[in-house]
Amino acid sequence: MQNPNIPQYEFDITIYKDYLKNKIIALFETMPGNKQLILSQRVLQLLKLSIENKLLQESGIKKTLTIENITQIENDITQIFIIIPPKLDVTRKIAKMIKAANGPNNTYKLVFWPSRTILAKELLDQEGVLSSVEIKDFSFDLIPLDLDVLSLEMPDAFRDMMIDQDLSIYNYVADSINRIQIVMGNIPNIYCKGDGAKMVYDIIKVENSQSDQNQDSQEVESLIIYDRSIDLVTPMLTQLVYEGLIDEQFGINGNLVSLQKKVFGKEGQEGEEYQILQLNSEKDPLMYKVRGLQVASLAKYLYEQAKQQEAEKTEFQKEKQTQLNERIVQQAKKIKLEQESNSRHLNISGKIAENIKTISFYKLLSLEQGIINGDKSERTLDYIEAMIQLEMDLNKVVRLLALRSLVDGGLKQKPFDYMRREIVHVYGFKTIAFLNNLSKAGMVYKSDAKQLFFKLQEQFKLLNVDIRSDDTDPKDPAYTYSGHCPLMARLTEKVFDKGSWKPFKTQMQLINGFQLEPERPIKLNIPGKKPIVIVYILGGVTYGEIASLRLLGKQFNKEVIICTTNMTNGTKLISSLRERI
Amino acid sequence: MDPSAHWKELNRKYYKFHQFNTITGEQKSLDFFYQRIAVSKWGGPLAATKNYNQVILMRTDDLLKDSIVFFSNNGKIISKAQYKEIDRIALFDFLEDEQLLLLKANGSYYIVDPFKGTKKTYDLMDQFKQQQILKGLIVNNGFVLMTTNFEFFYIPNAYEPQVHKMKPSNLTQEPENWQVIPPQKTQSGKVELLIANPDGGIIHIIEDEKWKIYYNKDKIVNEIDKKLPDLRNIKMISLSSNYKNLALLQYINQRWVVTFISDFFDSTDCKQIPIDLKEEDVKKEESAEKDISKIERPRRMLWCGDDCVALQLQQYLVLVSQDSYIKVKMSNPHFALKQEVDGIRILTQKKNEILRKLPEAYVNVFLPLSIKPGAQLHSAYESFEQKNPIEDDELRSKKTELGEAVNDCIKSGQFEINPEYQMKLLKAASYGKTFLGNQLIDPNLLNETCKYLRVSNALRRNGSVGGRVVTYEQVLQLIKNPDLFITLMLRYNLHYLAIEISRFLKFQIKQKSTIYTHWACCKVDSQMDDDQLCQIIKEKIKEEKGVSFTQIAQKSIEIGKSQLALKLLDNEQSLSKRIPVLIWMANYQQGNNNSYYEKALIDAIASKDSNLIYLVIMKFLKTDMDETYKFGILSQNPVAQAHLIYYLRNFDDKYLQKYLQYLKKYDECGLLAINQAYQQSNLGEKIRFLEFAQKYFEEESKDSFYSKILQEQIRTLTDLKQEVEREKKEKNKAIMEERPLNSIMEAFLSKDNIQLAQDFAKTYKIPERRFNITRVKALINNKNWEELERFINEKNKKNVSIPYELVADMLIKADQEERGLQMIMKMPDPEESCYMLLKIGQQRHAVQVAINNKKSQLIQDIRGSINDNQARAQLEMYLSQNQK
Repeated sequence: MQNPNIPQYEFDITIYKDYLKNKIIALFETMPGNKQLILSQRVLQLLKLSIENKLLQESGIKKTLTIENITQIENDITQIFIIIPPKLDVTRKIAKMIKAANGPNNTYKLVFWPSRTILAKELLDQEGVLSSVEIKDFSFDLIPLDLDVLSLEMPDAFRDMMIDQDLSIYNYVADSINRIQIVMGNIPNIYCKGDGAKMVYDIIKVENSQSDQNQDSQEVESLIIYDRSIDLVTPMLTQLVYEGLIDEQFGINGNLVSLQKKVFGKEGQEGEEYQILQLNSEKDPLMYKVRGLQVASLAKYLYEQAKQQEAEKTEFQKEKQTQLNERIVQQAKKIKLEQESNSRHLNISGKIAENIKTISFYKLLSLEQGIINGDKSERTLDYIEAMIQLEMDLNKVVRLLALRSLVDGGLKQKPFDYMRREIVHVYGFKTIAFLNNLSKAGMVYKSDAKQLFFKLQEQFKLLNVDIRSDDTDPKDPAYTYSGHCPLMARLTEKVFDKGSWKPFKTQMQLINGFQLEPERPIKLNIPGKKPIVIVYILGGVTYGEIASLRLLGKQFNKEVIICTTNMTNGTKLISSLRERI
Repeated sequence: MDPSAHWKELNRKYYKFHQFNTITGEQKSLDFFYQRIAVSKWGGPLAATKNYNQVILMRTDDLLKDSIVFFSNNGKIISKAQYKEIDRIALFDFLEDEQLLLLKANGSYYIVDPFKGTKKTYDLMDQFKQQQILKGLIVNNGFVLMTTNFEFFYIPNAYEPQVHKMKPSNLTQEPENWQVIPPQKTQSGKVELLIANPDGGIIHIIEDEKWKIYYNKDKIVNEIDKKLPDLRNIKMISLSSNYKNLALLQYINQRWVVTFISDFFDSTDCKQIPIDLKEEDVKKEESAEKDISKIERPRRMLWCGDDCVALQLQQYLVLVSQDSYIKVKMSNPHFALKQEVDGIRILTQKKNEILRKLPEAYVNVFLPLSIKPGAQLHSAYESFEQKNPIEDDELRSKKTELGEAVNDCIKSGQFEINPEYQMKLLKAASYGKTFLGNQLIDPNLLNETCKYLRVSNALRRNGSVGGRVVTYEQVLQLIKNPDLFITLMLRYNLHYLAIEISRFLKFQIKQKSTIYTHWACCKVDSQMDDDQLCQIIKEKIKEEKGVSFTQIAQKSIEIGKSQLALKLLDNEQSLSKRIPVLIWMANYQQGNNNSYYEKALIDAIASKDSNLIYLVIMKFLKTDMDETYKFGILSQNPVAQAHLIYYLRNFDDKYLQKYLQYLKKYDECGLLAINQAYQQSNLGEKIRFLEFAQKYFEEESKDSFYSKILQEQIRTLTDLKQEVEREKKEKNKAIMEERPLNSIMEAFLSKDNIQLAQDFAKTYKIPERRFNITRVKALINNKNWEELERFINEKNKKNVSIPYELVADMLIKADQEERGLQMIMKMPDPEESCYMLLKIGQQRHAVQVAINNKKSQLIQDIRGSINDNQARAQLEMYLSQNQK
């Protein structure tokens, strides 16, 4: 059912969805009959996002296991279908299990997502199982998470780029862009900012020269590619829009979030205390509006909605007695769905409000605000030190420390060494590799005397102190972080406004990394249609940033479609840099 | 040849022997009857070799001495391939891509190029040395074979011999005949067999899936199948070109019968016609054979179109349709046949012909004395052309008939072989069309017809090498498979023709690039300077997309021009294709191959494809070159470095250590050693590795932190080790394991061993603040509230070193809300304290803080946000008191 609250999108994600479903079914049909499925946790997540369980069962899957939770392969079902990323630790584990499984009748199909790597194959060869498995590649490509958000769902993207310097991620991104171009036509304007963006651009260019696609897109006006590393400050800040807060507090996987049933006032049976919820504006009539609001505005909005729904219902019940037809039935359905949605969000936001009313949240927020408002470093560091000494969650402590370090352009030698020693003493010696990664990724490092952030903040107007957190119709993208505007939003705003970054040459030089824009930007003018602008973020984007880009789309009358390697937040970003020794 | 000559009537349908050209070359003296002959489809060449299976008294085959010979359409020799072997040949026929396949009984076979006369050897290995091969049939570019124990095997691609066993046939004697249906024509999508069962009926085999018998009432259990006719003594099976119609030759009660079945295995009706196969005026060789079914057995039975089969006797050709048949005596006793999509090609010592059913349009125009509109228009145009126009007003005025006439002329033009007549017919059509306008006839028909006729005439190029005698209908079929079409032209290096045709027919980039690549691969062989050659090739190809320079380069290396190959490779856009070639080149040329690896590595990095970088690294590391040299090359670029490190980290730790030392990346060495240390279970070993690590870090002066912290860790572990050794002596005591330093201290504090904890803190230089905070944590965990209160008051007396809000947070989480709130109220800045209490919804406490600190302004500021009655009352009371 088309949701009347949501504008019609030109960019049609149903193609993606249906294609993906069919592709998955076809994949399983390459091994007819009953089979057991062994997946990595990550792939299981992707499957859940892409296809209904029922369809999987119809494809002959009798049981599904995750590789993280098993130590051996059982031979009760001899057709074994494995899907894993080509990460070497996972590949090694599965290779060892295949070797150990004593099933002479077993047949194995080993599917690599998104594609095999030469090293994974080498590993299989060394373990001596290469000849006993049939290898296939399978790419989920961009998975639609919402009507305007698509993600490759590769949570290690940032780490791959910054630490392992694995180039595959750029290829996956370039491939996904090319597939968009095959469907939509070549995109006339391409903007890039950041070195990773350049990598992707170079690959697209080569592939374009070999492609048969000669048609220029009539719908997509521009593609803007950003590299996460151009702005690491924003993700370190706590997201304050509703969807972002859900992610910060409960952790969203793709668009699925697992919440305690208690939140909805239900008693869960033991072992079933959790309920999985899909956050998607197609499925949930209010999501389109509420996801980008701050909690203060949200409460106000939901309250007004509830009143309106009640009024509609009363009105409707009066009408119902006189006539009964299709329209009425639809109307009844709509009201019911909306009321359900409303009470759902009331419950969730209630839970969030409860979590917000804690000392730690208040303190965290005031520290963050202090940092970007130019408070003295010592004060924050002093508090972070105490947090370490109390052994609070390492990811969260480091997130704050990274924010401090990023804003200051690094830490001075003395506090740098001191903090690191405290961390090693409290969290154990093994964290030393983690610390090394943090410094490699340019998150927590020794200061290089370049304190760029405040210049950047000033030049790009990243701070707006007049933001009201209870505004139900916000305009400025800075609303999403309650005063701080994500850098990407300002960069995008300039493209929307002037079509180019050229007038801002000196400002742009403050941001590290490669920059590219079209010589003469082409404007698409299709009467009655919004031009589509695809913003592709490498290394992860936050819900807060998405909310800010959506605000811009509304303001400039563009259809903004977000593509990314993964959905992220500060904690996820930091924890991806942890090293398991 | 007059269009109305050489017609044969078969129950009011007409068939015609249409001559393409006469034979002028050596084929004139080729003995068709006794030799092995293969004719390729789509009007291609003929191949012949000696047939040692036949015992011949007088050999007249010097032409074929020690060779396989290929003849072009006018019978001239194209090429010869040496072939002296006398093994029994099981299959001698052309593959789909027009290379000849010669399969010997023992399973080895040759694929022979008809243009170059070169042959490549393949072998199906030991499988058929015991059970030899009796017979084979071509399927696409592969074949199906039958062994001496009547089992069938399928080789889908002759170029990559992989044998698939088919379902057992259950035959006990050799079948009289069997046929293959290629997978693209079957419902199952697999290759299928029809075998004439010696006990009656037809065996149907679907690759490895199914075996079933049809048309045999004794063997059939299935009710539906029982309704099918019972067919026995099947001597031959033939499938029409679309594989929909089946014709069987049976010998029943001393008589020959041809049976026609359409929708075989489904339809219950079949048409049978008895025929006579005697060749009374032909002298047969004397033999002891008395069995008529053997003496008279035709050589072949082929479909001609969709409703007629032709049986090849010694000198006669018998055309059989469902209701009548005729016997045609061939003027030349030597002839070979090939079933084409629209008829049967007939090659003799003198002629190159095709036998086709005449379409109605053609009959309308050319049947002698025809008064059909088509014939009228044709003759009207003829007179017009001879400047002697006849009265044709009547025809012109009847639009329907005129339309019919135009249509008939166009269709006849399509069918006609002779360009002169084609032209006349099309001109007649065009003449008629001028009076017709665009009504009653497809406006594109004439255009299309001209277009495809030009293609078929261009292809024919009578007599020359690579010319093929194709009909209009065949061209339409070929165009549906452009890859094959191009392959057939490239087989004879007809690059120009191929490119012209593909432009003319607007083929895809892929086909064009295939042509250019093929052309360039031929070109590199010419005697020319490398630079010049490279220039010529580039010049020609630069505008074309998708040309594979890699393939061209590979070809150059094969013929020994490696410098040219390198030059060509620079033009390859696709790095993923280029790199494997470079590596291959490096291995191909023993000795001086360094530059290839360097180039490959640079390319791999430029490709931004990690897989390619790893490929080069892996191959390069496997060479036996000097280690420092390898390291040097692989370290020139940071990306290559990172990849090498990642590779080694996962596959070769020891080598990694070596490499990192080479790079002087001592911090990485150190981290690696730490990593290794933590894979050791033995404490002593662990310490040993950490000591290594520390040494590395000492080399590195950039970040002294690591060295210091390692020193501490080693000390801790050494102490731990002593401790453990001591404990080992005392039984029943849990052995200590490595834990974070602080948690050891915390353990002491939890047990209120303050003195021990203090000593520990001193030993390991633990800062006082951490000691205090850890103490607080322990006190909260032990619920020792009084001591907590006292301790914090003492420590925070001068300045706050233990943040109250942190303690408060812990207390609240430990369900001590009131104590927590009290902690907040102690914060030195009453404003901060007050706002924090407000934020966490503790209005009364917030008001209390403000009042306690006598902050009137603060009270005014928060007044608006207080909605708790008690708090409000308190606030108002304070305000009113203080106003007084």
